[in-house]
Amino acid sequence: MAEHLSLVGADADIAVEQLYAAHWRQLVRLSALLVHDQAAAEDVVQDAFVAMHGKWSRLRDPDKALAYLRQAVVNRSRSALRHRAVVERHVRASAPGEGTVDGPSVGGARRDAVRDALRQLSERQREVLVLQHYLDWSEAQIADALGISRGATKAHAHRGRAALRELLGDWWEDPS
Amino acid sequence: MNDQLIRDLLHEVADDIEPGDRLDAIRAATAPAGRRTHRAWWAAGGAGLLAASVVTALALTTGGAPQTNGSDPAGPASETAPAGEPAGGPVAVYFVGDTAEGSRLFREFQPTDEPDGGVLYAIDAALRGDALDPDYRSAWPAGVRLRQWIPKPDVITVILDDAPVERPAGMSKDDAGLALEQLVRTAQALYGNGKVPVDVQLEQQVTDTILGVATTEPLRGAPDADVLAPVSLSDPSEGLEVDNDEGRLTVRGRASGTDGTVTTRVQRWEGTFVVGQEVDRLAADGAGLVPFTATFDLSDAPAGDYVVMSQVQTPSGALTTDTRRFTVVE
Repeated sequence: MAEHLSLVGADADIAVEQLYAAHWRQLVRLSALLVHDQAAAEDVVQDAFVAMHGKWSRLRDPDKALAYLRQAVVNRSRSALRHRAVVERHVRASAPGEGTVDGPSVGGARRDAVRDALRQLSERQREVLVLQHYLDWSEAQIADALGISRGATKAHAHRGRAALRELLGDWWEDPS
Repeated sequence: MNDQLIRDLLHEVADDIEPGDRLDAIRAATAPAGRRTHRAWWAAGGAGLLAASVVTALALTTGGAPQTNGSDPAGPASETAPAGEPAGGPVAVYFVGDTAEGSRLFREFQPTDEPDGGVLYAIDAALRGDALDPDYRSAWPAGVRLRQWIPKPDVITVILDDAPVERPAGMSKDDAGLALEQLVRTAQALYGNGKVPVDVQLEQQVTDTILGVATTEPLRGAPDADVLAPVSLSDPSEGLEVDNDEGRLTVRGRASGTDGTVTTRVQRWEGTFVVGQEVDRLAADGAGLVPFTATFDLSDAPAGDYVVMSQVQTPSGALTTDTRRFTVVE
């Protein structure tokens, strides 16, 4: 590579290292809530970091870079989920009633119930609820990130909460 | 109450996850190309690619969209600049790279805005091996520089500083010949008037050889088939950033394949995700390298690093490839 590129590269390398140290774990967890699969979530966030590195010459600011990463993770999670949905439909068709198994469950029954419930929400409902309650984003931030209106954000959040309440039933009343 | 409960439940589910470490993978995917070699995995994937290209070729002969670009007027018509570039922009520099047939010359276009048309820049780049593509190098020993350049319609005189008269220890005869060919072809491309003989001389010294190669008579250059790589990419340039809003990547180059085709593939730098592959038929005259063009739809390609690979079969049946790395940005 040409020598004059190396400075920009080093700068972006440092940004990646710092953002990775500070946010890798939370971003993977965010993606896992959306794609229901840890390995897929790691892939999504890894790609987002690589993309951020490529864009660093335009971002040039850790805050902007983090905003970019979060947005990229949400968008890429959606793509990953859609891609996998096709595969899962085949699995379900061949093994009715079993659903998909991502690995041994390490959590309690409630965690499993919450995971299952999240899967049954619509894409938008899940995204809105996760951004609102896991990242503590405002409705305006969510609307902006998802490219939908604030009214739609509010509606998705409302319906998502209602769906969760119904799906989680007993757990809802007694979260202990 | 409800909001707090949802927050707790989400954290309970998510915070249970302990992500694996991907920092090394990210570092590898964002490292400058020079830190890695990609010849190796190309070689490993060669069989698969060959199989895939056969399928594509069959598809073409059974009524696919016409993709014969060997005589495409949109291809690079000029020897001195890729199509679409303003004259006097990029300069063609010849470097040495590896092929299945041994070391050969690859042509790389480099941007320059030097007032002299990039002569000093281009010849020094060739001598020093200042290629954008990390796979390329110079066959010249370190320290050789251009002193003077005198282009005339019948002969281009190139005067060098500090070039060894004899072939240095450790340099093969072939490499010495390629070094002179690098200079001859870069000079001819800069002058832009075809295969004008190049008289290579040393500053303040009369000599019959340079690097042990006879230079008494101006050099005309060996036949293309003996010194040029059978495939060489002109576009994209190494390290190009492509906005995926633009949607398309146009690959241009020159090739000569024994089966009359060149196969071009775009895939992720890391991993195996393939954006697309195209087989182009080369003009059937069989006379050396002919231009080809391949286009790829990048609108669905996620941001990240990609590699373009164009591959041909050489007379010995081996595969030779030229590659470029580029980055898709959102």
